[in-house]
Amino acid sequence: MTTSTVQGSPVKALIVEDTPVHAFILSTILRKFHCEITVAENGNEAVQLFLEGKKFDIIFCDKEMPVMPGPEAIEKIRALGESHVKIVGVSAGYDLEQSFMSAGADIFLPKPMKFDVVGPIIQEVMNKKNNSMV
Amino acid sequence: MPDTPGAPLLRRRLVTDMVDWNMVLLTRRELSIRIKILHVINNILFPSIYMPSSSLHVSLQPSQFSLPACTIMDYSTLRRQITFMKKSFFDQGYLDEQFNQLEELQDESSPNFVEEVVALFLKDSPRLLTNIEHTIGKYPQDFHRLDSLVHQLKGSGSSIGAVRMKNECSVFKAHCNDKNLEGCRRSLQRMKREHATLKQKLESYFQLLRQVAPREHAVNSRK
Repeated sequence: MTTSTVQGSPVKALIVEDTPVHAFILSTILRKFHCEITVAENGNEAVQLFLEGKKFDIIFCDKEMPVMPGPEAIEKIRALGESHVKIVGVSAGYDLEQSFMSAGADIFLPKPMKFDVVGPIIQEVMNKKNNSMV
Repeated sequence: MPDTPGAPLLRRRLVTDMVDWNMVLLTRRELSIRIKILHVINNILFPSIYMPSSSLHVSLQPSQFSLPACTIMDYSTLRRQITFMKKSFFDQGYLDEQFNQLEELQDESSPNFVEEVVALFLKDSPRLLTNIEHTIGKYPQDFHRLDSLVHQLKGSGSSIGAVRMKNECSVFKAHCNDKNLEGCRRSLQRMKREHATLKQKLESYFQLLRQVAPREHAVNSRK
């Protein structure tokens, strides 16, 4: 996995995931791209972060979580006016893609995640972020 | 070469520990053979190291060699064992390609990543298995809850490449879908057996890996 092409200010990533193994793996991948990482254990925690005024460039969101599932959290985050943040739905089962996309996700990645797809997504977010700062 | 009576010989035995050097008796021939082996191996692995082959008093200072000869031999054997063990995991269907993906993520910034992920799985999965067992025992049955729990276990297992666990979780989910409680019970027992076997195999695997890790670090640091 190449990380040398990633430049500019760090991407602020939010991982919304209740399974420790998934959160750890994704954190490790994102750390290789020098992302600033925050982890929320369910959709409600993720929404609370935005209500507190936190800003993120990208969200990786699981579907099945306690308290609030992923698609519901995504709907609420978009309803807060967070249209700029890239939202990646992550879950096992290709049939779950529609529920994420209907809620407002930009991309769907099936589990188990192929790690080499994350780099181009982060690069795209970084390019967009740096262009908006110019 | 027979021992010469009265000739001063410096005899050493190369030990597995990199730090401790014990002085034991070797015949001249044993010493000569070991020196030659050590010379060849060290010339391959490390920069040139002076070996006074003609002197009876052979100076084998720990600082000259990173690894004693028999440790290098043990290392090669260990490495072969590890490779064979890992191959057997794949051949017997315990692990799939996802495990290789995890290993590709491991580097100097996260040198124990794979073991940490597996440890996390082995720590978290018993909780899920216990919750599944507890939920099966409840009345009325909550198949939705069971499905949710096994979905988590399946996801975790898939993430480390635990393909047998993943497959058994799929079987369990199918029983949930059919509201087949007895099927769920049988599947749970198989899941627990698969989990115990996987745990034992992976713990043995990482135990071996830990034995070669300091040596590989020494080799890598010389590159």
